[in-house]
Amino acid sequence: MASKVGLNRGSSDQLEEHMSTASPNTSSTNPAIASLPLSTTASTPRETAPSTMVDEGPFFSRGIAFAGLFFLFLGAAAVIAKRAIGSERIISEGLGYLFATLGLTLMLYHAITDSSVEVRRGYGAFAVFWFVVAIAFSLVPGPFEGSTDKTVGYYLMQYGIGAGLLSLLFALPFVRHETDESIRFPMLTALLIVGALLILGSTVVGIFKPDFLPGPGIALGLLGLAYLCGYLGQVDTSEDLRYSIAFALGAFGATLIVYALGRAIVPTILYEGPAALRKANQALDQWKVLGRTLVIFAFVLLAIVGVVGKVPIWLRATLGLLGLFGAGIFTLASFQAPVHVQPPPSLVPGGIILTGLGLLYLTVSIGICSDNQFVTLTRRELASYFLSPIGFLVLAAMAAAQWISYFVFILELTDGQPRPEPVVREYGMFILNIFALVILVPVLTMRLFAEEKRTGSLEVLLTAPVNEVPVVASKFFASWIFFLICWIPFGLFLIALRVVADNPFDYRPVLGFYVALAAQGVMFIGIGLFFSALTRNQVVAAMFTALAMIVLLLCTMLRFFPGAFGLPQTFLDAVGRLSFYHMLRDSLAGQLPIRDLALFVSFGLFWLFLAVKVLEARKWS
Amino acid sequence: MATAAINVQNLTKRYGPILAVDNISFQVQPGELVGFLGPNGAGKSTCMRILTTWQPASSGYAWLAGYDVMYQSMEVRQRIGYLPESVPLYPEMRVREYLSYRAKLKGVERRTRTARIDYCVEKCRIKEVQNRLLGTLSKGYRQRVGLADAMLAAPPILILDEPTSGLDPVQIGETLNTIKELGGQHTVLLSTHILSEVEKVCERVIIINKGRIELDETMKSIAAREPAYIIEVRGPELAVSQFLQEQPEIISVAAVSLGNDLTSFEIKTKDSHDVREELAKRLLTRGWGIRELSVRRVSLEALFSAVVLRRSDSPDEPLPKPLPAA
Repeated sequence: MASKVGLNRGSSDQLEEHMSTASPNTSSTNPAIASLPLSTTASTPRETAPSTMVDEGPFFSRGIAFAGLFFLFLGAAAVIAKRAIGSERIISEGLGYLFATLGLTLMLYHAITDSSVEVRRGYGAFAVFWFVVAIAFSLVPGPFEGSTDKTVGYYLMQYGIGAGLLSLLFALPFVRHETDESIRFPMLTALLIVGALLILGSTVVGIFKPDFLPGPGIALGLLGLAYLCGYLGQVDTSEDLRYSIAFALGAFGATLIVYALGRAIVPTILYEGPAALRKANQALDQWKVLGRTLVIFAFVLLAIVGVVGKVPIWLRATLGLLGLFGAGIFTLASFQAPVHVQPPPSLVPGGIILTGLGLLYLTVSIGICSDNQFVTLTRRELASYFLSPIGFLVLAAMAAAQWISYFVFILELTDGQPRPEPVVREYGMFILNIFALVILVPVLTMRLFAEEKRTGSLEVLLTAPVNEVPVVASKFFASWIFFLICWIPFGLFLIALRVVADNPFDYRPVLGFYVALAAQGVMFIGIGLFFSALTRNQVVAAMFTALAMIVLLLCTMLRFFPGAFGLPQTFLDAVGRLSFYHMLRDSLAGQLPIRDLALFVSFGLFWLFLAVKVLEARKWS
Repeated sequence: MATAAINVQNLTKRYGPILAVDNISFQVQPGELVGFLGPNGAGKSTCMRILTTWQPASSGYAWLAGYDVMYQSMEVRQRIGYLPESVPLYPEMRVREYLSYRAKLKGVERRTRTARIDYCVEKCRIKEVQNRLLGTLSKGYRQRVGLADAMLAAPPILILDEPTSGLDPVQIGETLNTIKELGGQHTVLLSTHILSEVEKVCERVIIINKGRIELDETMKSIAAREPAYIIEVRGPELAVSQFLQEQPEIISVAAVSLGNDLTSFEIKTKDSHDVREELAKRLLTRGWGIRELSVRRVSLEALFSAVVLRRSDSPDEPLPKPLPAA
């Protein structure tokens, strides 16, 4: 169940993203449309599109909504009856949840498609209702495991977060459809305030109570971000005030990163003091001194570069102060140890979570605020995955493949045999995963340039003042991100194993697996991008990429047969290094050689370089 | 004189053995609105693609706003708005979203962006579709979205490849009006093969055929070309012809017999002198009846067909006639 909740959360974040990319239109058009009749009716008749949009009629979507309402009541009744009576009648509790979810989904469809006044206001009220429910669940005390007295926040994770998310999901279509500013504006502002409060609150509480972070902290922070994205997606972010809000989010994220890292590092450094620079026999260790000097030098350099750099004044001041502060701390710690109590470890897990959240806030803010061409292009590329059904189909297929491998893995685990760590190896190296990886790469990359070449939009793109490098880099980066997103369910299933099944296992190899996958992704996507840039036919691009992937698989095969085909061993060794299968297997065994990572990343960069040259080649006469 | 907005020198483009553009040279001054005319396959699009830095020339030079298209491609691209012939758009994006994305890409400053997009949307009359998916738009709307995109960054030079193809007559008129308004602030190079469009909006016309410039003249000077007078007279053809040739103002007479004692004469006069009243009086005094008396100015269409037909009739061209006699 936990994995399901997590999965839902992930996809709804993507929905936010999707909505925020589709955003700028709605906000600014409403006033424009409102003013249209005044300005134009007098002079010329209002022009209508030749193929005007005819609403598909409210009957269909209203029918859907009634079905949704029915399922919601049915499901809710089943769940409530189980809670009240204690025994299940006809419909089990699990089925009840399923019905309720189905009903809410159908109603959401109706909320999105039907914009008539009473319907949208109704859903607005529905959103407010869910918000009240969320608040109520968060405030009603409940018994935590192992204690008899009831504590506030017991139902937060179970129901509060879900209700809050539902409230947001129904509020968004409402503000999108609502034309009356006197109702729309308070709702939008409410989204902003709730989002800001959730983000600020979860951070502040998380800082003082680190136990709060894994669990409610992450959930509330992400929910706050979703609210804020919902707000920013519905307003014009090029306007000064809204721009400042998005900007503040980024500044907050950056501060959070600096704070979390600083809090993990500074007290430890100050506690260890000069002793950290000495060997066990108290002699000064030259290498450690050299390292410390380099660190101090790096901070001073950061300060200098920041101050003289061509960036806005506030950033110069911040970088300067940051550099000076870092250099000061490290210098001070080299001579004395002002902290005498050993500081508690704060990096794991609290520091990591805070850094991750900060990074997320910063990324969202950069995506909204930055006019940098790379950012703009990446946003479009990433959005194009989510604006077409292809992206969702690929995600669903990958989730299904990973679910099957998880299922098989669980079946194997339940045989009762004790097994050695790392147990996750069999899960990760399941043949279906490897198969999915080989298929996934051509599917993700074939479209990238071939499609643009075929329609001619590459001509429009490259006759704008954009160089080939950001174009290639953004396409690569977006598909690389999507490639990694495709592997998220893999990890979410393991969370289910650990939390729900309460089965502690060594999770660190999984982190290594993701790092290996990220490095290999650079090469895979690079190859796909290159072949896509060569042709205007997607099928040809996909074939060549698949061929390249099969060649890489052959490298794996060769490693299983030493001395195969009488080839020289040096050649076989060299080719064997390219076996991504072995690298993934090693990473799941807890080994992650930097040389392998470097090999794959540098190969990827090589293919990207070739792709840039292919694009530039049109200008070689 | 200020730098020419577009300066093309001896530009040649070959696709393998095919000569698409053959050694053409022309200049366009800032603020001019130039029509680039030619039959299909004359090399218009190729020429525009070279000017927008999309393709390299095989030889020759081109400068836009003083920047070389080959070596200062980025500077050139910052100063042009380009509407390609097929108007490729991303089907999954919405109109407004697309324009906002393009504005960011073209470096339109954040504070003025919304206003600028509003202005272009208004100008190109795509307000009513601004929340629609690009993939659902008709050809006419796609063209206008493309035009709005080209105008976004207020570039000094606009290069429009057949901006009116696929539009209905009303839309053609409106689009041409928009383009005409753009002339003056922007330099506009507009390609088309529809002559009446050029006559309506352009100040100058360049006719290109088989990769060569055949004509480069302002519309004023075309209009000022010597007109011919058509006069249909009922009377003995020989005598009338004799009489007309004796008139002092007339330099040439061509007669076409219409039968039944009716003859049509095409007359050219000295210094474009309008002789119609005088001539009518004199003919009437001789007792000949006048059926028609009119002036025929040199039309672009006549010039165009003359240019195109001459080229394909010339002996060094083995190709068959591309166009029927218009």
